[in-house]
Amino acid sequence: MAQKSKSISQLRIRVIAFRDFTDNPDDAIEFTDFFKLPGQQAEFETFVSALQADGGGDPPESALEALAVAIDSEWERGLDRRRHVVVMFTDAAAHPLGDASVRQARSYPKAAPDSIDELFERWGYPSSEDASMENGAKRLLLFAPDTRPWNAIAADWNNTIFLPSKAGFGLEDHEMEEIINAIANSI
Amino acid sequence: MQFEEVINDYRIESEPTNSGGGMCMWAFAAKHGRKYFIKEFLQPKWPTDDSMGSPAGKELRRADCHEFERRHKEIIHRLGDVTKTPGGGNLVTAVDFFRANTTYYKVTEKIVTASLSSVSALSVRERAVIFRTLVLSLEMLHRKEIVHGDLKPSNVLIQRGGSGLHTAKLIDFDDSFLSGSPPPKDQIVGDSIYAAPEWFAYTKEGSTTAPEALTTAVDIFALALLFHHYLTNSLPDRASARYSAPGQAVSAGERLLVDGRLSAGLNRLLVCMMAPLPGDRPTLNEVFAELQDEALLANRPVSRVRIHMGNPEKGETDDGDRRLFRSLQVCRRYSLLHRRNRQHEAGDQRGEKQCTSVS
Repeated sequence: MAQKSKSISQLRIRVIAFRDFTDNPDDAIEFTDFFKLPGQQAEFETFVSALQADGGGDPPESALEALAVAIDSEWERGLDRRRHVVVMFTDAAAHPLGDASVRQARSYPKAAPDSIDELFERWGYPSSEDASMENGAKRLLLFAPDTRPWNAIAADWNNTIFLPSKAGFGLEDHEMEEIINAIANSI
Repeated sequence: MQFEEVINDYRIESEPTNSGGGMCMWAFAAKHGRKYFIKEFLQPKWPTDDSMGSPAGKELRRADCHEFERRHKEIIHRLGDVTKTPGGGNLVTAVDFFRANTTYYKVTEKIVTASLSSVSALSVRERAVIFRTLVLSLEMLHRKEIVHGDLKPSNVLIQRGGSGLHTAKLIDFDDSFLSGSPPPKDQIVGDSIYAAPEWFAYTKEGSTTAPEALTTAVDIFALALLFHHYLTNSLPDRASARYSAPGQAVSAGERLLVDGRLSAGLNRLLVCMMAPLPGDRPTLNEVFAELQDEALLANRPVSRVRIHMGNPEKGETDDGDRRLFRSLQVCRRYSLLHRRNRQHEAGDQRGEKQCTSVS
């Protein structure tokens, strides 16, 4: 950030980890409130360190529910310059929204939309009146495989940067430096 | 846009990146044996029949897209006229603008992007040539009522030509708009580091600043920062670390520190160009006239000069502010052109009294 002559006066981060409601609904999603950094760095690190990248069974996963939780976050308002950045890391396709059987799960996000069309409306567009996100502030960084729904989201959603990964190979084709660079440039 | 993808006959030849791109992805491309630089806009997105969203929403989104197209085509049309005039070759403008499926793209010729980021090592004469070339290029835009909207070092290519002289080419008109008619506040882009105070006022949540406030004067503010950067390798400092952008600091009444190594005359010129109120800033013709005096661009070995811009929206003034605002009014009222015919030394002394308060 300093190299780009930019700085952040306030940084808030929340983490939304997901697996698959159709595989094991009891551990399919876990998320935090916003941590204010650097003050709550210890709590942030504790949560992230406890995450285990396993489970979920075969692809696809329940990533769209996680994306809905992210979009519905309590974003900061009123600062001079705001950036509301959602970063999706996944190596798999996503189940479609609206499966009534998984909605019964105790941990299923109650406010999750019933379709990707509804999720799109929450993301919004310039003249949108029903969006949850602020158009000028929002960014979506999508580190995901070139498959549905990610390539469809990349095509239709504004302010979205899509850096395709290969399914099954994690993010090893994206150097971490590139990821940080992409985030820094969107702020 | 992906590596090796073909879009409207442009074959993408590099990994697309957002590096330095703001609201776009960019890559190098080739078409019919020629090399190009292609940009993919992140918004708006044209909704196809298969796109997500409701039919009513798609109509709204198409209206957004029509307005986006209208703005860009108008700028491209006016720039086309400019590039046909003498000196227009220093503007690197789009050769293609199109939509493929849901996404908009703009294409320019691929040019060598190696550029001097600082001119401080060059002679005063060379600095003057570069600055004047840049001012003339920008003036060609302003004459057509076009605001560049994203002036910063990476959008000015300073290169040594075959004659040994440096040239300054102006690039990236993707964020340009007609004076007084910027994009809506949630869609305007440009590097905030070089943005003018009225840009921050306009984009601030809940702001009542009208779009008419964003005129060619935003480029004058950015140009002052650019000059400062070229000669000192830094931007004017702020008195506090609260604001990373000079324009944001000025908008909030923060102090700016103009590098004291700059000549008194240039100090005064930059202060006027960075005036809080757009109407107090000189025109490019006035800036050009000032730059006829090459002594302006010679550095001097003194410390930084502190100026308090005050917050014009809040009407904040103290003794220093009043002195400064009075001096800015003097700058405007009497015009920088008047000083050209006066003796340099006397002019510099008067300029320092008019435009800066020294702490």
